[in-house]
Formats: sequence, C-alpha cells, structure tokens
Amino acid sequence: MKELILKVRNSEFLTLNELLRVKVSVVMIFLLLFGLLTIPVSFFEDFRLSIRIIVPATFVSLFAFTFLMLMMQKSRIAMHFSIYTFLGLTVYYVDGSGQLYGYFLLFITLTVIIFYQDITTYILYGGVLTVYGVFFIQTNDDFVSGLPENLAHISPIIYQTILIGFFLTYLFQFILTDSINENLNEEFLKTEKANNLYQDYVNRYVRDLEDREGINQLYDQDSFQRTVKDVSRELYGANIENKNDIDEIVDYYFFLHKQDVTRILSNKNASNQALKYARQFEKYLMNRNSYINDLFNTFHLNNRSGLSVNMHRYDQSLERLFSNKTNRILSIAVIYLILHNQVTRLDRWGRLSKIIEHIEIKKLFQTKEYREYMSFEDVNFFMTNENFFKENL
Amino acid sequence: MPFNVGDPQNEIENHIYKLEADHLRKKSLIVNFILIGLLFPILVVLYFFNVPFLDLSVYIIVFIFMIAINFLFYYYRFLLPNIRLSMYITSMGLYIITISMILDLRTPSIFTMLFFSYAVISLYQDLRVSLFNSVLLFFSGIFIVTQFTEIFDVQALTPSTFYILFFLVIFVALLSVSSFIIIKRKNHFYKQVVDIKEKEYKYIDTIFDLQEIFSERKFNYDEYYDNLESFSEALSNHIGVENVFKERINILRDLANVKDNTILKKHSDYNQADIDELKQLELTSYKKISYLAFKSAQVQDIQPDKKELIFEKESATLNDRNDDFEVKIVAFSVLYVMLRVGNIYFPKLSNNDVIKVFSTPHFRSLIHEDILNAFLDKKNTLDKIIRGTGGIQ
Repeated sequence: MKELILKVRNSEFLTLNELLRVKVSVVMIFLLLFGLLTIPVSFFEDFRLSIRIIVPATFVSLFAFTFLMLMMQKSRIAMHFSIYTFLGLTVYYVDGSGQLYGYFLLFITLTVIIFYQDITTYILYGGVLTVYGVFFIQTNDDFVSGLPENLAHISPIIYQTILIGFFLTYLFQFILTDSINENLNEEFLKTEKANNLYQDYVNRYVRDLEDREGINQLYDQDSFQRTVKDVSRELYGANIENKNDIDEIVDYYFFLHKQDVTRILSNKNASNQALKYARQFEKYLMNRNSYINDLFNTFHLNNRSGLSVNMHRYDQSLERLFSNKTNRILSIAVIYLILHNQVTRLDRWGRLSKIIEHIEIKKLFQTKEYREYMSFEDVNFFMTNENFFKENL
Repeated sequence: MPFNVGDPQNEIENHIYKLEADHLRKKSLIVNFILIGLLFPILVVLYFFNVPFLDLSVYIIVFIFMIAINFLFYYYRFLLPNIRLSMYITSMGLYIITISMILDLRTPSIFTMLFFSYAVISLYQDLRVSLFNSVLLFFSGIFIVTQFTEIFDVQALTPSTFYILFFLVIFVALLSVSSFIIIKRKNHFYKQVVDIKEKEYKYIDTIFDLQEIFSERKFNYDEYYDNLESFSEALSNHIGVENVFKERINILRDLANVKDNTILKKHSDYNQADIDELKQLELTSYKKISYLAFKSAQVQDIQPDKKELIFEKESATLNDRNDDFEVKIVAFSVLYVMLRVGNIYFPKLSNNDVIKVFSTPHFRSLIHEDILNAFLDKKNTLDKIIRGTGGIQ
C-alpha cells in the first residue's frame, strides 16, 4: 500500500505500462472497498434473490480474474476486467434496486473509465453505459419522485441531460488534453532531435580543437583510463567485496572505443559476456553521441545563461514573433543575412563548416518544413524581392 | 567560474508557468462556452419549476459574473492579480448555482448536477483548483444528503443515504486521484518540454562560441547592421517610400549597450512593447534571431522519424534497468572523471560542484541509489584520486 501511494505520488516518472498497473491497483482497492461495504448491506435491502446471489458471485470471480491478470503483468486485460466488474455491478444495482443510488453508480463507473485516461476505452464503455443509463431512465418511472404531475416529465429529462452532459464534458476533456499534448509532444521530439544534432556539432568542434592542439582524446589517455579504474574500484568496493572484478570490465569499456561495436554485436562467435557488455556499454561510449556525452554537456549547459528575451520565448514563427510588418521584413532580412554569412550546415565531409548560397536559401525557404518559421506571405515577399536580398546581404 | 545551479531553474519554472497560463487561457474560453450553453437550459428548468423572477435574476447575475471573469482572464490576463482567480470564482459560482438549484427544485434528479459541475471545473486541470473542486463537491454533497433528506424522498438517514454518501466518497476519491495523476504528469511534461527548449538555445550558443574559437575570429555584427541598412535603402527606393527601417536598425545597434529608458527618450514614437519586439532582432546581446536562423537551417534534418510518446521515450540515464550494476558503476565513474578533468572547451569542475549537481532531484533520478550513496560516502577519497593524477594531459 505504501509503495502504491509512493508510485501515485511519483506517477510522472512512470512509463505508460507502469502507470496502467498502478491505476488498475487503485481501482481494485476501490472495487474491494465497494464490494465489502455494499454487498453485505444489500442483504438488508429489498432485492430479488437473483441479485443477492449473482452479484457476490460475479463480483468475486471478476475481481479474482482481474487480480490474476495484474499478477501476470497483463495490465491492459486487467483494466478491461476491472471495468467489466464495475459495469456488471452498475447494471445489477440500477436494474435491481431502481433507486437513486443505482443511478449514481452510472457516474461512479464512468469515473472509473475516466480514471484510465484512454479515449477509445472511454468512448466504447462510457458510451455504452451512457446510452444504457438514458434508456433505463426513459423506461422506468421510479426515478420520478415527489413532483407534481405536471412536472413529472421534466425529471427524467434532467437525469438524462446531466448524464449525457457529464459524458460529453469528459470526452471533451480527453480531446482537449490529447490535442495540447500532441502539439507539445511533436515539439519535444523535434527539439530532442535537434539537440542530438547539436551534441554532435559540439563534440566535433571540441575534438577538432583538441586535435589542433595535439591533445589525445580522453578515452585514449592512460591516465584517464587509470583514474576511471581507480574510481570504479572504490565505488564497486563499497558495494561488493572484491574490487578487482571491475578492472576487467573497465578495460573492456575502453577497448570498445577502438572497435566497431556494431560488428561485435553481429559477431556470432563472440562470447555471451562480450556481447552483453558491448550491448550495455554502447550507449555510454565517449566517441559518439551517447548518454555520457549528453549528460556531460547537460552538466555544463546548466551553467550557461539561457535566452534573455522573454517575449514569445519559445515561438519561432515570424508571424507570431513580430506584429509589426516592418519588423517582420527586417527579421526575414536578418535570417537571410545569417544563413548567407555564417556557418550553419554540414559540408560534404560531415563538418559544420558550410555557408548556404542564395539558391540554397531560396530552396530552404520554399520547403514545407520551413512554414514553421515563415508564412507563405513571408516567402512571397522574399521571392518578389530576392535580388535586394542577394545583392545587399 | 562558480557553478551556478539555482538561477536557470527559476527561469525554467517561470516559463513552465507561462506555458501553463497560455493553456489555461484556452481552457477558460472553453469553460465559458459551456457556461453560456448552460445558461438557457437552466433558466428554462427554473421557469418550469416556477422559481420567482427575483431568484431567476440572481442566477443570471452569477452566470454573467462567471462568464465575464473568464473572458477577462482570456483577453486581459494581466489585469488579474492571480491566474487562478477566475478559476476559483467560476468554481464557487457554479457550485452556488448548483446548490441553489437543488434547494429550489428539491428533486433528486438535479442532485447529479453536482457531478456535472465537477466535470466542468476539472477541465481546467490545475492542481489547486482540482483540490478546491473536490472539497466543494464533497462538502456540498454531504451537506445536502444529510440536511435535506426529504429531497431523496426519505424522512431520515437510511441505507439509501449510506449508499449515496459512500458513492459520493468513491466518486470524489477516484476523480481526485485521477486529476492528481493527470496534473502531475502534465506538469512534468511541460517541464520536460521547457527544459529541452532551454537546452537547445544553450547548445546553439555553445556552437556559436565554438565557431568563433575555432575560426579565431569574432562575428562582425556592425557589418551585419550596415548590410541591413543598405538592403533597406535599396528596398525603400525600389518601392518609392521613405526608409522606415533606418530608425529601427539604429535602435538595434543601441539595444546591446544602451538602457531601454534612454532609447525610449531618444525615440519618442516607440513604447516598451516596440522595444521588446525589436529585442528579438538584436544580434549581439539578445541573439534570439541568430538562434532561430541557425535552427531553421537544420529544419529538414530534425523532423521526427516516427510518432513516439514522450512518456515512452528513453532519455540519457546512468541507471538503465537493463544494465548490470558493474556497467552502471563504470558509466558513473567515466562521467565523474570527465567532469572533474574537463576538456579543451568545458572547464574542469570542483568536487563540490559535482556533488551539488548530483544531489539535485533530476540527477538523483538518473543514478543508481547505491552508487550515489557510495559516491557521497567516499567523496573525499575520490577527490584525492583525481588530484593524484595531477590533471589529465
């Protein structure tokens, strides 16, 4: 239980599958509570015998199956069965009791489905449940209570409207969340890809600067390798008694820097140990875009001050950045100026040393992807006046 | 240079807040449309139940007030002292209307309007407002169920009342846990997006810096402004209008060295918003347009290859669950030694600098707990090992 609470509290760090498992566990706790508290009470109510037998039996079997699926790491199937359990209870109580709290159970079950935050599941099960609720109220007069005869027809309409409204509001929330997240998700993926590219540029520049100064790469330096080995032995010794075991693994790590790791991984004759460590070390190698270089750069980039412009900080469309037309023309000119005078692209040898020519800038501006920066109107302006750009910037 | 961990974090939080505020604006507009949509059906129902005209006008005033405050938030957010104010007011207003309707109409069907109000307020997806929403629903529900039993057609507390209360507890508890998880993940998601965008600007800044070091020459921005002037002159002559760009280019030249107030005094036609917009075009101090131009040159290489969800993505870590403990130790040791010895561009860091960053929640989550504890226990021994090497080459 403590672990479950901790997982809910740190739910932002869970993968989707881990999160689903946590959610099913939470629903099962509610389900158990629900079963333990409502089924015994139902014996004092005026229910049909079938309800008194079927409800506990169905509840126990569905609950047991959901639990089993959860134990077998089949979280998705467990999710569906936890919903079926609630759906079953809802139908039994609504149909069997014909009382207001049975109608409330419709909302509880919708809540359980909402809890899983899966739009397809919500539309499917939530939609069926809402339609069931609407039809049930339409065909049962029991819900109309204590009203004058001339108002009796309004009460079912209120029930139905609120149920549909509740379903639609949450459906709307799903769509809204998905649309906001989708845009941000795409932004994230693009920026991450750009950062991988920049990591590569930075590492190449550093390597070139070190080559120019005649400095060996760190992973090639004996003193660096020795220091890493000493540090590893200390840390390993703190957890495991035999410090020497780690030496061989450190040596293999540095050995991999001189090898084509892809070839090792596809070598059928390589030992299992060699393959295992090569696979695990691949993402930590220092001579490529790797976790190690990413974390090293992140450490240092944290210390760098970011943009000092706060207005539209993350916007990149000139249309959004500049409300003033004159500023927008200037911005197109400045972008052209930078692209035409500064190194921004890789050359044919993969080095960041290429300055783009006018014709290439023109092609770039016309690409579909460039609409993120310049609108058609901006590009048209550029095309109409391209000679002024070419001759002056 | 001291390693400063604190300041960039504030900058990031400030922009997460802005991102959040932008999305809240959209949500407040949607809530407003729902409120407008609710007004007419609610008035019709109240009319059928013969609610006096004076009471009807109170309902209308509360609705108009809620709608006005949401529009105020949407269009003039800066006029409100707190971005949550409009959400708190809307929550209060909607619950006041719902409770009043329940007490005016005294039919159980309208009781479920409480659930609908909860759904509408939950559209905001804000942690504090969500808590407020749960508290309002819970207490207003209990208040009505226990104090106005006749609404539910019973004269005293019965098993039915127990069911209603119990269902209310489940409803509130499940939706509260659900909102908590959604909001925590949403905030984490925003933070990741902002983090990666900040990192991107810092990467580009590092690349510019490395370009200058590698080419051994500084970018000549004065020349850029001269080019802009000749471009604007030629363009204005061609169109046959006065050169409206010149004054702006002069402001751009001043922006790096002169305070805003001085510029505003010198150019009386301009206000602070104009200056802020021009800062986005400045090349030496604010540099936003330079970053944008560099990024735009990579646009075709940074389109995501496949649609992945951010929560399913692997990111740089030293604690991959698939790695052996020994591999995690070697990876950690490599990063630690790299940070302590630095390279030709990134300076070496002190032991305290490294400890400080490794102790931040973000880095703690990237390192195996046992390794981090061993590192903190042996920090002095490890420091001696590094010092013992006398610096690496």
